[in-house]
Amino acid sequence: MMDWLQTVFVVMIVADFALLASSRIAGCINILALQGVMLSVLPLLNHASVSNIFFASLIFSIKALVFPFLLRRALKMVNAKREVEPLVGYSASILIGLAALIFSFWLSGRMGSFSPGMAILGVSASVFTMFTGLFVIVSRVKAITQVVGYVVFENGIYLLGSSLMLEQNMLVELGVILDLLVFVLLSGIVVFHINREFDHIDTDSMDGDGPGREVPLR
Amino acid sequence: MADTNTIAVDVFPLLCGLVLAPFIIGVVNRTKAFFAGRNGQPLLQLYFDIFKLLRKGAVFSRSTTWVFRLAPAVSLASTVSALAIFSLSPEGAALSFPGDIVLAVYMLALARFATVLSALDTGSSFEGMGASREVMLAPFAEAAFFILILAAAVASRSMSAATMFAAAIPLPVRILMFVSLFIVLLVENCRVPADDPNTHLELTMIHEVMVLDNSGPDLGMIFYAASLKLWLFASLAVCCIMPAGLTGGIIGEMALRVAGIICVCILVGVVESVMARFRFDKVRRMLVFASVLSSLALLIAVGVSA
Repeated sequence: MMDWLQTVFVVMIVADFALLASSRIAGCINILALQGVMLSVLPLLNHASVSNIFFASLIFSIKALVFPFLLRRALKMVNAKREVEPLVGYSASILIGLAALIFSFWLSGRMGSFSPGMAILGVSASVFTMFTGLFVIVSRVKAITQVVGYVVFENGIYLLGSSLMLEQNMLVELGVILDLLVFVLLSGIVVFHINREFDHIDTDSMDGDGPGREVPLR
Repeated sequence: MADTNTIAVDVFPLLCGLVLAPFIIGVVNRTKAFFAGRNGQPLLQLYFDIFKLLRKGAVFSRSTTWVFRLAPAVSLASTVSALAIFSLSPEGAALSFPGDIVLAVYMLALARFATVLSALDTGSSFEGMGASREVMLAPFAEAAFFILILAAAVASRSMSAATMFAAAIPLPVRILMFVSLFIVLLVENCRVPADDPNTHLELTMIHEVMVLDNSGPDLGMIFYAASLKLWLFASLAVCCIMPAGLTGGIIGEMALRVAGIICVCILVGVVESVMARFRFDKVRRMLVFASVLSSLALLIAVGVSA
């Protein structure tokens, strides 16, 4: 059981790195779906009761099916170019991620004592996932990738809760998921309108020149 | 002093490697032929090639010096000594002392250095280009490989290759090490996502282009050294996921290991058949990713043993 739990954490970390390295928006969305699957396995590994099975299937359907579906639909609707267009290069992103990973291992080593046993890997995986989400939000220009970053950030928070094995985690998490669902739905609409207004979804060049403005060459 | 029996057990994997290495190149080629719908060359083709080349005379360009003549021997010798450290038996290795991993990594680097130097020695612009590409990828591949070795050392608390992979390493670390090692294997052995061993267009080659001027026994040595290198990485990859000591005797152990190596070679053939070559900067990104996987293995090993 411990081995499987560890494997889930490791897959989460590797998925974060894949997100930093991937150059296609569709690839980012697939990684998001993978993370959703991993997170839905987590409650079952902790304790396989009826409520946990219900909870796991809820997480699975929302994070592994609904979110990717909505994001893919938004991607198709706005006809965006399929490249991620990072502000920070891919290799540099990976190296920054590595630094963040080392930092989160150091951090969770410092705070490891307040939860017994498994804490170090789980806590560092979740801190690192949160960091990756934030980094993706600030370093990728497109609105869709920023939504992806936001969801990854939330994945990190959820992972932190369940790696510390908090009992009330589920209740809080259900509320957050509801929020998130509304957010992703709304952001799909917002992205669509941004696209209609500016002919692109590059959040860096929205200085109100009106519709039809050319995207500056980088 | 160790008695003869233990020595025989320790040397046996090395002998297996020295004898069987050309065979696994045949396995890779047959797998690729299968995917292409061909029968492919005989499994033992590389043995025939090497014996044919050894019987031939060598031709040396007038612009080359002793560096060019020395390089194939240096590269073969250093690959064999690295293999002696990394061919693991249940109790040890043919050559083993604390810190031997560092020597082994440097031996592989020496082999590369000799090849690059001889490529530059020919004065051919193509070979110079190949050398430049080789040394451009080398630091990234070495970083990934060395961090991986370090992870195994930390997880098993030993500084010798012989005991490093035998110890109980947690499963996620093993898988991470395997994946990272497999990427390094593809790059170090000039396999498809990084380089195409079949192409004879100089503009696209890395390793092949560096040995264009070699002929006769020299080329035979280079082929043999290349197959030994593939054997070395494949057997390390097998050791990563298959801990030693599953069966009792050394014969059974080696049979399992060889079966594993053949599986890895089939995997290499499959990867080569279903993937296209990467753009050059993407190869580097792949290696950076491999280093990250190794670092993750290292961090987990540190976290678990702390």
